[in-house]
Amino acid sequence: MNRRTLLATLGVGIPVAGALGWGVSEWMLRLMQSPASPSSPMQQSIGSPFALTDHAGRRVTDTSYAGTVRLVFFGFTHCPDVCPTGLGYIAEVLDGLGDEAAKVRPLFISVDSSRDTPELLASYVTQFHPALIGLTGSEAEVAQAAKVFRTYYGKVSTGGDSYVMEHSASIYLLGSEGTLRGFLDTHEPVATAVSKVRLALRDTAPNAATPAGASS
Amino acid sequence: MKRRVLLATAALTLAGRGNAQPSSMLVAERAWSRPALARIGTAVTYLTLRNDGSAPVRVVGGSTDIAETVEIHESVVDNNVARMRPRPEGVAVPSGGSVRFQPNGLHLMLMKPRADLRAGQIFTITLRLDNGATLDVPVTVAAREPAAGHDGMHH
Repeated sequence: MNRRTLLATLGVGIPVAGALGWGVSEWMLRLMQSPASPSSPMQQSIGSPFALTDHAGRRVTDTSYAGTVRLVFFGFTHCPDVCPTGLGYIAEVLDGLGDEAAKVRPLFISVDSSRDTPELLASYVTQFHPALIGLTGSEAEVAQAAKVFRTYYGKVSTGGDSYVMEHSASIYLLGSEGTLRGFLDTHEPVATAVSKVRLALRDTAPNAATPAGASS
Repeated sequence: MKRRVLLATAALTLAGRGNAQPSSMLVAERAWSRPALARIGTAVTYLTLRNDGSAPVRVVGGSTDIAETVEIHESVVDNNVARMRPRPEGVAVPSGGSVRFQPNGLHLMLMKPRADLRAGQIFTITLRLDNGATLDVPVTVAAREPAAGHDGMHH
């Protein structure tokens, strides 16, 4: 109820009060920037190149999603808490985006290549949202994908044959030109994430007069 | 309504054990589980435990008909890396206090579910307490955390 009110407020508020929305988003993006970093996330090209297999069994590369705003989350299907929480959050964000969700590619990249087959990923990711795209590959392919996203993962034995993966809990937000726009944080209200994604969608619209953030 | 049923359950269980401390009264609220695929082999349950009694209570484990084992785990996000650590020592609920099992934190991990968990389904987890008592907790399977939430307005 509350959330719906918030979403409605944002939905109406951002297009109308553009200036206010812009102020808030500028503030958000500044928060995401590491103060000591010479280059802001907005200028970093990230997530390229990689080659993986999607949950429908198709071979894909980073260029398969070029030109779209992307949400990228690393995890594994046998992860009971953090991955479902991240994917559930992404699902809520997609719902919150309404029709605009069609312009976003939500990618779940498995770091567990030995267990996560495309077929298993298909039944897993679609539990959360029909638009989610599960990606997996050989160990080398997954390592390459993690490398270009500058993310860490590792295998931790839990006794016998069983193991869990430790991995980045970050949800990357990539602009359509392939730069890092920041991260979604599952501790933030869904409405905050929705406005971050909307900002990326608007900034990178092909007919945008000025690339947003160019002046900052 | 729900709370009253749970209280009754907890009180009965404790009474049934005879020697269990009569003053410890643990209440489970808002227990929910995410849908899960049996073939993946894990499922998760979250809940809030409130201790209305005068003595601290420690939850040391649990069991359920729908999975092989129930373990207490905690996710820790450290330096942006998510790790999971078992809590074999259990979780203490202080007298007059509460502990929340929630996404990205404390959770009950259900190992080897016997069947897929589907939204809308309700099952029971029996929590084992250090004072010898048990607490039956009804758990609802839902894709998202039940919204009735933070202020407990459904009571």
